[in-house]
Amino acid sequence: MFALGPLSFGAPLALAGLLTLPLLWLLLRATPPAPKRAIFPPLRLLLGAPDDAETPQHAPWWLILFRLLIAALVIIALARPVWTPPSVEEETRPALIVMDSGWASAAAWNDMRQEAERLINEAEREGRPVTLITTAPTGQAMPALRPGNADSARRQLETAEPQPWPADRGATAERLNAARAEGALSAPMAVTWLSDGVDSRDAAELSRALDALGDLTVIEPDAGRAPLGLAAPEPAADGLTVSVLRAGGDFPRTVAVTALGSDGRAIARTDLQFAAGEGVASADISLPLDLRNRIASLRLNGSSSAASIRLLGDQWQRPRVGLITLESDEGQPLLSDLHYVRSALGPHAQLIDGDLDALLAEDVSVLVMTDSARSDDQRIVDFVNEGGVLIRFAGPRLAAQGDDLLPVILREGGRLFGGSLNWDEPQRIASFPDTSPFAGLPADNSATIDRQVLAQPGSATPDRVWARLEDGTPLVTAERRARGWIVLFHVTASPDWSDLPLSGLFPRMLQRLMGLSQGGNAAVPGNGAWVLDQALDARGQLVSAPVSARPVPAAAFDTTIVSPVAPPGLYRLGSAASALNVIGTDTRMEPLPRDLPGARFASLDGPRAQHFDAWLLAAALVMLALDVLIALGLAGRLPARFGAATAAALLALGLLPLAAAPPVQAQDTTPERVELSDEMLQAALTLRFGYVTTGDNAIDTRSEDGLTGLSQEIFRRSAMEPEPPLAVNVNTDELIFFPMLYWPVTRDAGPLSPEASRRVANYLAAGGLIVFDTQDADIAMLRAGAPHPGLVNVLDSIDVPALSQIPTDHVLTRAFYLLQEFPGRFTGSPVWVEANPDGASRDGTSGVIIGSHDWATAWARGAGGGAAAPIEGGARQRELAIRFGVNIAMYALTGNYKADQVHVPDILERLGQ
Amino acid sequence: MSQGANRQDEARVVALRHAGEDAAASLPALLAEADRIAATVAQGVHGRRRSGIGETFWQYRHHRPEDGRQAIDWRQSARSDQLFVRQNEWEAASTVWLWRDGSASMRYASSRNHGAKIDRAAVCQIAVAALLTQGGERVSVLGESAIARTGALGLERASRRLALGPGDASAVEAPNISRFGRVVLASDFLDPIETWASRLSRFAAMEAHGVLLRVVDPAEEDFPYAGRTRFEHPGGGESLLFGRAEEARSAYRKRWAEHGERLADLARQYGWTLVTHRTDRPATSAVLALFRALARDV
Repeated sequence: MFALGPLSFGAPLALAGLLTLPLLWLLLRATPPAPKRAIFPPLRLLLGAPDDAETPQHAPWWLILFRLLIAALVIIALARPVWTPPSVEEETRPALIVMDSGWASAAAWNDMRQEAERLINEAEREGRPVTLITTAPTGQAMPALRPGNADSARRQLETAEPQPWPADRGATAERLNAARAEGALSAPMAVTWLSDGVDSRDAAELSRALDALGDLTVIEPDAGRAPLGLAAPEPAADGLTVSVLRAGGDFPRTVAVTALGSDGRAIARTDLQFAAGEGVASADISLPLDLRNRIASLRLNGSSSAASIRLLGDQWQRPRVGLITLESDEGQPLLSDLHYVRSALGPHAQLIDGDLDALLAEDVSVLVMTDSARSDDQRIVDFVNEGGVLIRFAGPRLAAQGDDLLPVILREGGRLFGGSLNWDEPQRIASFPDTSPFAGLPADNSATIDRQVLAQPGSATPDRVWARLEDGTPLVTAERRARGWIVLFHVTASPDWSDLPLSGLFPRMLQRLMGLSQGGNAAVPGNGAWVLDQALDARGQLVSAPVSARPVPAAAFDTTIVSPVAPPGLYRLGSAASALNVIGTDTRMEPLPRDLPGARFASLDGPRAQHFDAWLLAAALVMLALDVLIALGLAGRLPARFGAATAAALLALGLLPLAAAPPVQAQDTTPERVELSDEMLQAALTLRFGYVTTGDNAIDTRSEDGLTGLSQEIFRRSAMEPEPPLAVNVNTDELIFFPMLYWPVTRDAGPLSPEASRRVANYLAAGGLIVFDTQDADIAMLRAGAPHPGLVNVLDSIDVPALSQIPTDHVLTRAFYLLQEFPGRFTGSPVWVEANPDGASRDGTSGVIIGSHDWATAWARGAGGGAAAPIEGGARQRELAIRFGVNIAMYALTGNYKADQVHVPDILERLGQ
Repeated sequence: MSQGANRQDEARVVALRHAGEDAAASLPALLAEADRIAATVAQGVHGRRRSGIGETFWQYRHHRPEDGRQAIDWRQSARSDQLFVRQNEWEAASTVWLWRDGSASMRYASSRNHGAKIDRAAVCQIAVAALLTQGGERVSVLGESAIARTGALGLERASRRLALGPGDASAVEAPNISRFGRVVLASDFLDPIETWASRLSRFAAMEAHGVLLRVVDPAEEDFPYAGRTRFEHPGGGESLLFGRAEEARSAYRKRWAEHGERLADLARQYGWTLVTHRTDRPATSAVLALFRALARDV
C-alpha cells in the first residue's frame, strides 16, 4: 500500500495514469469542437469567401481544464484512495488483546478479528510483545498465559473461532489473575477488550482483572452487528409468538424470523420491530396446527450465530385433543367438566369438540372423557391400542360402577372427605414420585381433594400411580395398553370434587400428559440421560456432536446451561427429542454497563478508514454529463431556452441531495372544519328540532310556533324531551345537529346556493330528516297541473331520489301512533317519502317527507291552548296532525326501528318450529 | 393522396389565404392613395369597342351559314325576312400572371419567428390576387393553368395553387402567357443573374413585363454567423465549412449587395419593377409595394 501521510492508495500504480494528462491536454487542444450546422440558401455567394476552413479552432481553455479534471478524478478514483486518520501517540507497552468468543461474538467476529489483526500489526511494527486471549471455553485445556510475539498471536487469532456457548469471563479473569500472580503478565500493558457488547455477571470481574494490568479499552461491535438472540417461542391460540432479544440499542430495528420444517423448508416468516430503546421484539405467527406441528426450528434471518437458530424439541408440537362432548353439556358451560379441561389445555393443544365418531375422524391423538361422557365403546379400545392417549375423569357414575377402560380396578362408592357427616380432613396432593411424568412439578398445597374414587388396593401398583394424595391413595393412575395409554384422574374435571381443576397445577399436569401423545410411544422422561444428537455450531449450522459433549441427566435437562460439555443442539432420549438452546428461559441480554471498573469505551465502527473512490467516480460521472451539455452548447445544438432550463435543472439536480425534502402533506382527508357560533354549539348539546327560515316573517313565526307546540306535545306524550326549536338558515348554518328539519317552501323559493345544497346533501347523507311543506294543500297542482315552482327549485338543488306516497305499511304509519292519514291544517293531499330508501346509506329510512298540509299551523298552540288557526277538520284533525308530528319525530330518532315489526310473523313462525 | 396530407394541405391553403387576405385588408393608407389604382385595377372590365364575349349589346349582323342555327336571334329576324345574329361587345378583363418560386432555397427560414420565404411569397401573391379579383381582373398562376379566372372562384383556385403548387422554374423558362401579359414573379432570385436574364428575355419576347418580388430571409442579408460553422445548401449536397464564419462576413455582404444591384439592373433593363421584401418585415409592406408597381403598370 502506498501512503501519503494519512492518505493511502489501494492501487497506487493507477496513479501513473496522471502522467497521461499532458498528452490529454494536447489532444483536447487539437480536437476542435464539432462545427455548428447552418442551412444557408445563398451558399453559392459564399463560395471562395476568404477563410481557412481547416484551421482548427481551439476548444476553450476552461473546457480543456474541465475535461482534464474529469480524467484526473477518474484516475485518482481508480487508485482506490483511502483516508486513514493518523494514530495519536506512540505506544510502548506490551499489548494484551482479550476477545470475547462466545456465541454473541459471531455476528461481529470479522470486525473483531480485523481489529485484533490491526492491533497485532501495530504491536509488531513497534516491536511489542502481544498476548491474545479468548474468553469462551473451547472444551480443551487452556494453555498458560504468557506474552508472545506477533506471529504466535496471529496464529492464535487464526484458529480462534466464536463458540456456540456463552463466554466465560469469570474463568478468563481467573486465568489473567493467575498469570499476573505468576508474573507471566505484568502491568503496565496496553489492554484492549474486544467485547461482544453483552453484559454478563462476570463482566465486572474481567474488567477488574484487566484494569489491574493496564489502561483498559473496551471495544464494542457497531450497532448493526450487535448480537441478537431468539428467545423461546410462546404458544398462542392460533400459532405461536416469537421473541427476539438484543442488548440495548437506542434505535429501531427490524429483523425477520423464519420458521423452518425438519426438512429445512420455510413454513412461515414474520418481521419483528425493535422499538427504539427496547431490548425485546415480539411478533405472532399465525399458522394452522398441521403446519405448526412441522416447525422444527426458527431462524433469525441475516444473522449467523448459535442464538439465531432456535431448535424446537418435539414437546413443542401441539397434539390434537378430542373432547368427547355430549349435547347436554352445552347448557351451563361453567359447570361443565370440559370447561376446565378446555381452559387448561387451550394454549397447549388443538382442542376438538365432538362426539366420538367426529373425533376419531379428526385423527386426534388424545381423547378426554369426562364422567358424563363415559363409554367403553370398542372404538375407544381400538384407539388406545393403536397408540392413543385416553384421559379419563372420575365422577358419580364411575364411582357407581367401573368399566374396562381403567388403569386400576375401582372400589364402588368412592370416598368423601370433610363432609358434614365424616371426620376426615380434605386431602392434599403429595409430591410426585420420580417415575411419574409429573416428576418435578411442584405439588400445589392449596389444592384439596374432597371426593375421589378409590382403587382396589391390589391393583394400584406403584408404577401405575402417577400422583397420590398425602395419605397415599392414588389421585392419578395410568396404564399402558398396547401402544397407548389410559390415564385416570380419580376426581372430576370440574371443581365438584376437588380444587385441583382450579389450581395452577392442573394445566401443567395435563400439559405433561400431552407429551404422552407424541408419537404414541414416547418415553416418559423421568430418568436416563439426554444424548446430543445434532449440535449447533457458532454460525448456527447443525453439525455432528462435538467430542466435548456429554450426556445430560434428564432431571437436570431443564436447568442446563449451554457449555462445551452441553453444547446447544438437539438431544434425544429414547425416541423423545428435546432441544437445548443458547438463549434459556431466563436469559437476559443487557448492554455492557458503562461503569465497568477502569474501562474506556470505544466502538468498532469509528471513522477508521474512509474509502472515497466511489464519490470521486460519481463526481466524474456528473461532470461528464455536464461536459456533454457544454459540448452541445458550443456546437449550437442546444436551443437557448432549453439551455437555460437545462442549467436550472442541473443546478436543481445538484442541490437535490442538499435540499431537505419538503414534508409530504398528507392528503387532506379530514372533513372540513365548520366554524360554529358558541350559541350553536350550546344549542347542539341538547335535542331540538330546527326549521328553515324563508325570509317571510309570518311563515317563520308560524314554523317556530308549530315546532314549539309539537315539541311540547312530544315532551308530554313520549320519553323524548326536545328543547325549543331553533331557526336555521341553510345558507349559513350547520344543519348536522338537528334530527329533524321543518322546511316550509314558498312558491317563490329560489334554488339553493351550491354551498347550501352541499350542506343539505351532507345532512341527508348523515341521516337527517327534512320535512318539506309547501303549505298550500297542493292548490298549485290542482289548479294548473304544474308542480310547485319553489319546491322544484329547492329539490333540484338537492339530490332527491325517487319518491312515492307513504305506503300503508311505512314506518311513519306506526313509529309512535298508528296512523293512516297525515293531516295538518289541510288534509287529503298526498304525502311523499323516498320510494326505495334501502339503497341509501341511512339504513332504509327516508331522508325527506314532502307534503303540503301546513303541519306547522296545525301543531302551533294558540293562546288558549287550542289551535292557533282554524283547522279544516277541527280538533280531531289537529290531534291527528300532532300525532303525525310525533311519528315524524320518532322516525327521525329511531329510524326503521319499528320496521322490524314487519318481521314479527316470520319470527314467531321460526320460534314455533 | 392520403387523407392526412390532404388535410394538411387544406390547412396550409387556408392559413396562407387568411394571411394573404389579412395583408390585403390592412391597407388603409394604400386605399386612400390608390383611388386611381382602384379605378383602374379594381374596375377591371374594359370595353373593347368590338364584338366579342360580353354582356353589353354591340350589333346585329346578318346570319352567315357558318353561324349555326343556335346563333340566330329569332326576335330580330322575325321583324324582317333576313336572319340576324346578335353580337355583344367584347369585354375583356386584363389578366395578371402570378408565379411563386418553389425551389428548395425558398423553403428556408432562419428563425422560427418568421415563416419560410415560400410562405411569405405565397401570402403576398394571394393578397395581390385577392385585390385583383375584387376588381374584376383575372388572375392565373403561371405554369399551373392556362385559364385565367376572376371572382371568388378564381381567387380560390389561385390561392390553392400559390400555396401548394410546385412553382417549377420551367414555367418561367417557357412562359405560357398571352402577349402583353402582366406578370408578378416571386422568388429569392438566388439563381445566377445570367439565368434570370435569359428568363426575362423570354418574357420580353412576349412583350410581357411586371414585377419581380424578391423575398429575402434576414439571415441571408445579415449573415449573423460566427465561429466554426458548416453551411449547407437547403437542397442538400453541397456544404462549406468555415473555421471562423465571422471572417467571411464582410466578403459575403459585399457579394450580396453586388448580387442585388445586378438584379436591379436586370429588372430595369427589361422594364420590370423590383420589389425587395425581408421576411422579418410585415407582408403588408410588400403588398403595398406590389400594388404601386402593378397600378402603375396597369
